[in-house]
Amino acid sequence: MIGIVVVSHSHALAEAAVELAEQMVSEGGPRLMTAAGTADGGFGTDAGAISKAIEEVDSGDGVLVVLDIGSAILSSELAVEFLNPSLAERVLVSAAPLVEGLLTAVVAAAGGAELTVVAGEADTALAGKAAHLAHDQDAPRLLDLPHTPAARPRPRRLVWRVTVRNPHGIHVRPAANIVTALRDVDAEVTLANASTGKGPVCADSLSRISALEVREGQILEARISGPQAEAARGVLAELATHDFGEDIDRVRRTMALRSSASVPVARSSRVEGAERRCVLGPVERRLTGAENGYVPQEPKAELDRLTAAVGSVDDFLAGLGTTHCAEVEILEAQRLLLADREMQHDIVARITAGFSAMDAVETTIGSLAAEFDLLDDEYLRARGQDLRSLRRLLGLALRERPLGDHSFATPGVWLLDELDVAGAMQLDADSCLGVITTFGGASGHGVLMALARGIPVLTGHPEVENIAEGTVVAFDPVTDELWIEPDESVRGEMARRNSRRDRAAELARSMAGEAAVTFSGQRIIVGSNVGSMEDADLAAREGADIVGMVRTEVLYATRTDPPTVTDQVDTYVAIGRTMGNRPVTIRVWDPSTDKPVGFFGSAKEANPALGERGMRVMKHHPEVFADQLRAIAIASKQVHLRVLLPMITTVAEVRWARQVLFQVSREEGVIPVDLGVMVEVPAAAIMAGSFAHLLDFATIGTNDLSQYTQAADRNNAKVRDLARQDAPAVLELVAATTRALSRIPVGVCGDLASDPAATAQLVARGITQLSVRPGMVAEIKQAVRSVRD
Amino acid sequence: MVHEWLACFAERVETGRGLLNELDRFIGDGDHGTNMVRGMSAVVALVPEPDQGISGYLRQVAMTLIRDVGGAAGPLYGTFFLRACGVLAILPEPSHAVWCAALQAGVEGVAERGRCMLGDKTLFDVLAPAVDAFAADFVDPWGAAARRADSSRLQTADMIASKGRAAFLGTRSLGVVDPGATSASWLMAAGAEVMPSS
Repeated sequence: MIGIVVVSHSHALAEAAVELAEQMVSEGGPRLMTAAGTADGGFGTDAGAISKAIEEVDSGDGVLVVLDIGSAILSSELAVEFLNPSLAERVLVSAAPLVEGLLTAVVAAAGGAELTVVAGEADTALAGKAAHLAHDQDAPRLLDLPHTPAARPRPRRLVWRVTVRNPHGIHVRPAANIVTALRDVDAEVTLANASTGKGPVCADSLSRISALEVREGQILEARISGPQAEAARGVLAELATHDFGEDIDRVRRTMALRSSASVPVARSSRVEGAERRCVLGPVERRLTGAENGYVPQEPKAELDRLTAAVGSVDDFLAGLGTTHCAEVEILEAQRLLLADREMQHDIVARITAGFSAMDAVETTIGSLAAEFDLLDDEYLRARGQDLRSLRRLLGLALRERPLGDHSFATPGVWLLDELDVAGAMQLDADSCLGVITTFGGASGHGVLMALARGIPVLTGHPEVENIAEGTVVAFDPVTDELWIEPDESVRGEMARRNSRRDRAAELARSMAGEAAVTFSGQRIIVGSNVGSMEDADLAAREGADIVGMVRTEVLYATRTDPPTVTDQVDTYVAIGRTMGNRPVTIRVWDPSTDKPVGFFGSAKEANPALGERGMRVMKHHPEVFADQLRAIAIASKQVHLRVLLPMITTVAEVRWARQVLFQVSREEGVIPVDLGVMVEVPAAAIMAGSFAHLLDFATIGTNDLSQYTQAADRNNAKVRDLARQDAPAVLELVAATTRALSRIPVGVCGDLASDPAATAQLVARGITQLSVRPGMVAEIKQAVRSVRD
Repeated sequence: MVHEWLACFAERVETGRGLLNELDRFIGDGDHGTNMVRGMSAVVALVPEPDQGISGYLRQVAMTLIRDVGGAAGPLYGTFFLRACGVLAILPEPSHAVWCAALQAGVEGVAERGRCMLGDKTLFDVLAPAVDAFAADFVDPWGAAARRADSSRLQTADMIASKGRAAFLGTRSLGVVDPGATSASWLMAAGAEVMPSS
């Protein structure tokens, strides 16, 4: 008689199953043993125990192993390998469900049946239950399972590669053709960029395939398995011979035409200094949720609304295609993106999780667009704009507003309660002339980000809250003036101001590459704050002497996992190279509530500004901290870097950081880079002298320093006057800091540094470095040149 | 040396237990960290017998993992070390070439045991490329393997699981780094920390 071994993750489950089974035969049944759970009573399986059990129950007629799921299979197969080969031949691992299979097997075995017969019976164990519950004759067919001997043939996996010839690489249109071509083929296909290592991704998502960024000359690699694997490979090969459906010669001709035009296509289409120009335009409300007329309903209704909206937008885009010929490519790309399964799946998932259709669309498309923003290829980055257009259209469709001409938007002045980082990331420079917030403060990170993107912002003006949509307003972001329905004289004044500012900016720009020196000949280093590769580019073009601060947490804002050391090395080297090897200051991760970082989790705190932020968080993530310092150390072999520690409060923090820096530098075989701290906590400013011997430089973060010193929230319009960065108390602390740190260079990186009116005051107090918004480099250098000291 | 490698791995797994469990909570049953700690604690407690050499020691390690880890990682890591020690028994001097053969045997064992392919979102997605990187680098193979392991680990976030309990989640497994891949990358990182470059 055969023996039976019951394998389960749960000891209790196995024992209970055996008890149940023993009731099926009164006496003389097969030998039954369990091998279940871990030695300490937890869930799990142990191949050693399984093989012992098999040896125990075998009487020479063989053993059937009945099991539950997952690792029980792995463990059982491994257990068979441990057996004496002659015994192993007499062991079968059953594919039957545990309880039903066991019961059937016990009865069959008790009747003296031999191993393969018992196994066969166990495989059909579900027949009784299925027949009872099934409504059609097909039920028995489901159970046509072969009983498995221990080994199974490995599934075939085909690999296919091609070198891409398309001038723009595998962008949206070729990607869409791949998706469509493979849709009806019964195969699992994953695609990867074999030249850069990106991927693999599923071949049914056009956005993911485009994000592989397979460029001309790189290799697209497919791994294919499944019943029609060969056919799938054939389809791909065929598609590749036609360059994935793109007319390459036509594309090349168009590119040649574009590059011979007089104006080179700039990487960024912004006008420098744009954020300081006066703004005139119609108001568009961008308040969130219910306030803009969208009332969320329960998920099922939201799904219906989404489907309707997608339909309207698709019809609209299809209709436009026939009237706006020049934009046909863009429209096609938008329709393809709209139909992207993965994106739709994400939106639907959010709706079923309880978000309104509006929020689901905003968040999903917004974050997808942000991913595209980070790509190297300009053409692909433009697709991020397409996504934002789609988002706008879907928003209009969901609110049942006419889609009309808004898609090629008449740009407007956006009205918001306040501008946070998430909002700033979604700002669309092509359709947003400027932003007015009714509520928020003047130097929150969202505002800084918008300014860095060249979008003028006016904050804390509650009087616009109730004005009608479409009302024309004007504002001057420099003087903080706002006009509602400005008359001719105001418009004229604004135009004059703009032309003055443009001229000054022009002059400044012409001298931007030269060193900024005061009247008395003191050289002031004017560098730039950088939160993106775009900023770095702009900083380099603007003539920044250094990068005074890289906001690394902003650089990696969309990640949920910390970037690897290699990733970071590549990024830091790229920034350094963009700056032509001028020094780049990398600020260590600085998570805080208004800049939550995906990979540092965020615990709820009653008082986040006074809680765990900046360096304080690093104590809980020493590996992530060390990895960043390691990346900096490695990158420093190729480019000139410095490290900046944010939110320093005590000497102990600096000592610890220094230790880690020195250790990783030793491990990487480099000299430790210069180490500096951000002086933004008043304690650090007051006690600066006690750090002096540990530092190579310091940077005063006036944004936070002015908040903490004057106990006023910079995001709160009610106390904005108390949070001013040029207040006497703040300037006193600046002076005290530079006095205490007289032997090392001290700079300012807060918003105050970007204010030309403050330059003289800062220089007078011993500041020798200013790190400003990228677009302000030229102007601040001019301000330095006007300092009479 | 190999003893230190595993001790270092055990340390990483101990400090990272929470993370492994967390990742496993998203796409599995939340116990990968606990399982690995249980297994590796037992490994650390092993007393290597004299004269057993690297091969005998790794065999002990394998059997301990199989017995004590509990989840799928037990048979998978167990098979990895079992196959590797098989090679080392025949060629006990651990030169770069010998380690290559041993690690490759280990990786092939994992592929067979788990029927894994690249892209299935398992620890195989880390071990296979890492061992390739090891073989390609003659100057600092352990370092190269560790770096490759790390980047491969992150790439698993973009994969859809088709093995193990995560497979029940289908596309919902996207966006989460695989826990098995994470512990595997730590195994390679520990190797880079301890094992000497050629």
